[in-house]
Amino acid sequence: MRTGRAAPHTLAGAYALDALDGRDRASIRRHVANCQECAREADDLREAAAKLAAAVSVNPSAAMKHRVLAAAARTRQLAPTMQQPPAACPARSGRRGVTWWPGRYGRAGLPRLVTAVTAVALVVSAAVWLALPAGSPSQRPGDGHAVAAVLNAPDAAMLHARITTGGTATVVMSHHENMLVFTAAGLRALPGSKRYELWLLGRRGDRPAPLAGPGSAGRAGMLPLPRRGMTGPVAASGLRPGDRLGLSIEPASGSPAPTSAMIMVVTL
Amino acid sequence: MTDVETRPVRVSARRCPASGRWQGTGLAALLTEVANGDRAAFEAVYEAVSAPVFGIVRSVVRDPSLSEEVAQEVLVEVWRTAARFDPGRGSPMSWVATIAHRRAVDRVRSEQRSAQREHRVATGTVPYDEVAETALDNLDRERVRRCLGSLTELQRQAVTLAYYGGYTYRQVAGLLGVPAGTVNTRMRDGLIRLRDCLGVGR
Repeated sequence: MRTGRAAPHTLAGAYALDALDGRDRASIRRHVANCQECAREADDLREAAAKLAAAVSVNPSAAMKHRVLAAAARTRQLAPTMQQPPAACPARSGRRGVTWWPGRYGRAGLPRLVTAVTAVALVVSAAVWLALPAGSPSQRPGDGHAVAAVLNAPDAAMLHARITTGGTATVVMSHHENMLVFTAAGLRALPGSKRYELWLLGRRGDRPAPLAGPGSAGRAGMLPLPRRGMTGPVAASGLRPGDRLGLSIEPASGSPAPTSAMIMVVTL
Repeated sequence: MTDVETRPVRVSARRCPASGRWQGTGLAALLTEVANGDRAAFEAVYEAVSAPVFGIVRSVVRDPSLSEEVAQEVLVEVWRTAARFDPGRGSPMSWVATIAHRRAVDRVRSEQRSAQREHRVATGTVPYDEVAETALDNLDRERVRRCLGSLTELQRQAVTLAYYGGYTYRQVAGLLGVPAGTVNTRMRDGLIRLRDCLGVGR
């Protein structure tokens, strides 16, 4: 039942719900291309629609996963395009290309829950750490405060990274505080002549990360000796824009610059 | 120096300083790795999105084996076009859901609709409630259900028929016996209310 053409701006909802047929879809695409506010609205509405998809989640068969992974392995990927649309809040890293019609970032419930759970876990582990007897005479009174400042920062974000020689690192980053907290678990034991050293890898060169934290050795970059494979939490300060976090194995006396390959690099 | 390992396997949400919006950077960061051809990252993305993808495709397509086929295409499309995901413009889940839903509705519309679907349209007995009933049973679902409940009856029907049923607004208008313009308005108003209730968007 055709009822004539609808004005494009009234179609934002139907558009977000993919409830337009070909002609209407083409019409609103043209409209939205010239109307930033309309594009934003439709993006927002798509974000809401995506929640409707999440609400009907059904696990597919295990066989499907194998088929998808196998098909992906055979499928050539698109190269990123060079154009970059104006983005209100670009990602800190990674490629960006033109997406024809993505939604906007939404306040994802699950990630927020994950944040809360992991933040609580970290605070608990930090508290346990802080309650332990001082592991090193160099521990300073303010050490725990730096860790707490990062964990409590409004923009605290958590990253996990694998360490190639074994183990995983957890980093909580606060751009607001200009600091991060680093911990690692499952670390390989090193001979006495070697230590793990943390680096800030920047455009203007690499430097040992200035550390504070329970058991930090007092020397920049040098991580506390792992106990049962775990080290940290230590707070690293003095971050500059564009810095990445690196980890390498260095002589126990410490190195002013990396002397071996990075065993972990985290884009912050 | 080369990056040895930069793949964050899980990243918490963070708030964008400019807009104050929350961003689920975990999946976004994984997608950038997928764009670089990282198959392990793709497997992690698969784990995160395959259930919503399959769910929405099945909801629209209905036929189980065809649903698997379409969902599979969607997930390979995520792999193929990962470089086109633009984290500055939307959440990864919204991007993936958009691909999935559009692919599903395109498929059912190109199939010219089975006799059963035609029959449903003709009689107006579309089982959208059945879809919602079988599917909504966890926390997130409970929230969506509650928010759907805050819509007016016509808004809710318009939104769910279009999204879960895959119908065009003209078909929805036919099913509900209201003018197409009214359906458009209700879809938009309903989604706005849903957006505000779910706390997504600005």
